[in-house]
Amino acid sequence: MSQSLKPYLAAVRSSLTAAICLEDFSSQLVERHNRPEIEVDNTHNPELILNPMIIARNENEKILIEPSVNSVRVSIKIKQADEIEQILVHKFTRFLTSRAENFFILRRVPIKGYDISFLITNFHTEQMLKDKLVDFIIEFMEDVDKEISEMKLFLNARARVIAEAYLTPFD
Amino acid sequence: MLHIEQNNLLIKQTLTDRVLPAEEGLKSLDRIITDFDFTTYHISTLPDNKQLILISIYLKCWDDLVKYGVVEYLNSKYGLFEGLTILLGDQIEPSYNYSLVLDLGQVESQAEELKLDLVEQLSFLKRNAMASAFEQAFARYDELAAHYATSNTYSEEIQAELQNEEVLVIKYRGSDESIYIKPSFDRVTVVFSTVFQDETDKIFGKVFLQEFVDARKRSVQTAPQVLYSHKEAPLDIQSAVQGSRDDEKKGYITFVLFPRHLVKGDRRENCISHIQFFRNYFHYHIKCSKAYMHSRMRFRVKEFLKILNRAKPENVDEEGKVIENRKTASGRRFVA
Amino acid sequence: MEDWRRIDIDQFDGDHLTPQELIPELPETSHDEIVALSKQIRSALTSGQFSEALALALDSPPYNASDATKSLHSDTVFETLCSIKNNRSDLSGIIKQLSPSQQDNLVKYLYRNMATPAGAKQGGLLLNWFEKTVEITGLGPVVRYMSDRRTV
Repeated sequence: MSQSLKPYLAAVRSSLTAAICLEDFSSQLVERHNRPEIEVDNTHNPELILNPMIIARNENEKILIEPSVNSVRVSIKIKQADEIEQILVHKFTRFLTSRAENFFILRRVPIKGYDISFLITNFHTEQMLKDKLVDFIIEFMEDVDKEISEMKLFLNARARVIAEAYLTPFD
Repeated sequence: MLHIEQNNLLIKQTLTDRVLPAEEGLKSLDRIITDFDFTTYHISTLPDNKQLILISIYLKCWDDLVKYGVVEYLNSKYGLFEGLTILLGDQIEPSYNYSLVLDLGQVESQAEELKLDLVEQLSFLKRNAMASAFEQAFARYDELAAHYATSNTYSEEIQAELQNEEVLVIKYRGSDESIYIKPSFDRVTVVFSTVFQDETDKIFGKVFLQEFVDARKRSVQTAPQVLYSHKEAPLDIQSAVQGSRDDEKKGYITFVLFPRHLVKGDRRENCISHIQFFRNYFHYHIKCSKAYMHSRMRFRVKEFLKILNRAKPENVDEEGKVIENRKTASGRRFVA
Repeated sequence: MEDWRRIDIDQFDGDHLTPQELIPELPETSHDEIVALSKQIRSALTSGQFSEALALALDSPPYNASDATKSLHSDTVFETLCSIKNNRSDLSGIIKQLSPSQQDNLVKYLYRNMATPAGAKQGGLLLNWFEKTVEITGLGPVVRYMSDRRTV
């Protein structure tokens, strides 16, 4: 594990633990509605939204946590060093978001400037253990980085093998 | 499977079953076989005589190949076989380019190896058709090599002459994906133009081609030199390039074949078979990598789901409601 | 006529808070005060009084001030954190000396700086501070950062 990863994940963990503190909250504007307040236009209810947090490891890797009274939106920007990683991250996140219904907390569309977003509401925390949800996000962040770099290594290795296999029989 | 087979397995299978009949009595046969590159084969028995099998091939780039003597080349290849008649002119099956008739009656008496050799050669029909252009280009190289053997090839006039050497163009998948062959006195340059369907293909392709370029420096020193350019056609063939230019999705791959690859005989044959399938090989492996990435991602998604499901308390039913099944030490249930 | 479907009818219902009402009333801090303060902090840093400099910076942050003033002070804090990190390794000791409200402010400034491009470049450094602070204080300052309307 590289040097700054540990404090990064530790900071994400403590921030998330603090932020996922949600309660059932009916809409103040629309009768009989109960909606994730972070997702709706809240110009008239500014008291429901809390200060957002950005935790950055470097320019290319950061996480945005936007807490509100009954929902937290977590957006992750995944490291992308070059064109290959960019396309891999893009494919991978698209693959995940198209399976969002299985993931409960995954948002179908990421927030602008980030690669993937999660939306955790009070209903999720009622059904699932909060600490394990935090664990999931942390493990997700770790594994995505690992997966992307492994895929990249694989691609290069494969390219090398097929290039040599093609060029060798010429002689 | 690292390499793509150069012959067509289905043709081979179909014909082998015919020339080495396992059972008595001939059935009629009508089979259309397609390859991925718009090539179509049609194998059928003639209506009046089931002993005669008509084999036809359609190639998208046939018109180009005709210029480079494909008919003569194929005739010379297949004319030698006994029991094989080459159809000419109007006799060629409509909407196909080249037709052969195989007479089982004549082949029957031959030795088994001869039969198999015949089938083998027929399954290489596409390879041989494409090879005609390469043969012609390589023959031109022989001429040039002999012609300039004693001259000072660095002189400007000769360089200019070589520069103007005609480029052979095979538009094997339409004008956007073509093969350009340019002979010279000490090399033959083969350029493939190819189109990448999407952004992922393009980037994967780039990674692959980088390795092709580097492979020569690293391990396979005797391989042809490979160059890659994106969007812009190499200078050598710019005059011959047709179709859309400046297309973001287009790439050009250049192979420089040196005299060592062009030694007459097996090596030249091998070189031809090998190089003409570059585009297929290349795209095949891009697709394979994508497929692998997908299976990996599928696996990873499953793992993520497992981790997420750990967040659910143990006693939940399908709809996520908590099931009350706690028991006391003696095994009695709680009553609500 | 205006498209009546698009009219925001909620604005006519006077029974809700405005963002301004949420912010507690505090005396405004002028730009000059912060400029003077930053000079003071810098001279403390050059003379090697690191904990004093940090305490000074975190003691009375400009809650009610213009954006320019706020970012000036935020930069000063960032500088202080950088120079302490470069000169002293015992971060925990320094954090322990701070008062609880100063620790809260420290966390606020850590978050604020991580959100800026310059801060993101020094992510490792800020995260180091963050880790050490939370080790000592627990989650309290993080929660207070989220809910405190006195933003820095």
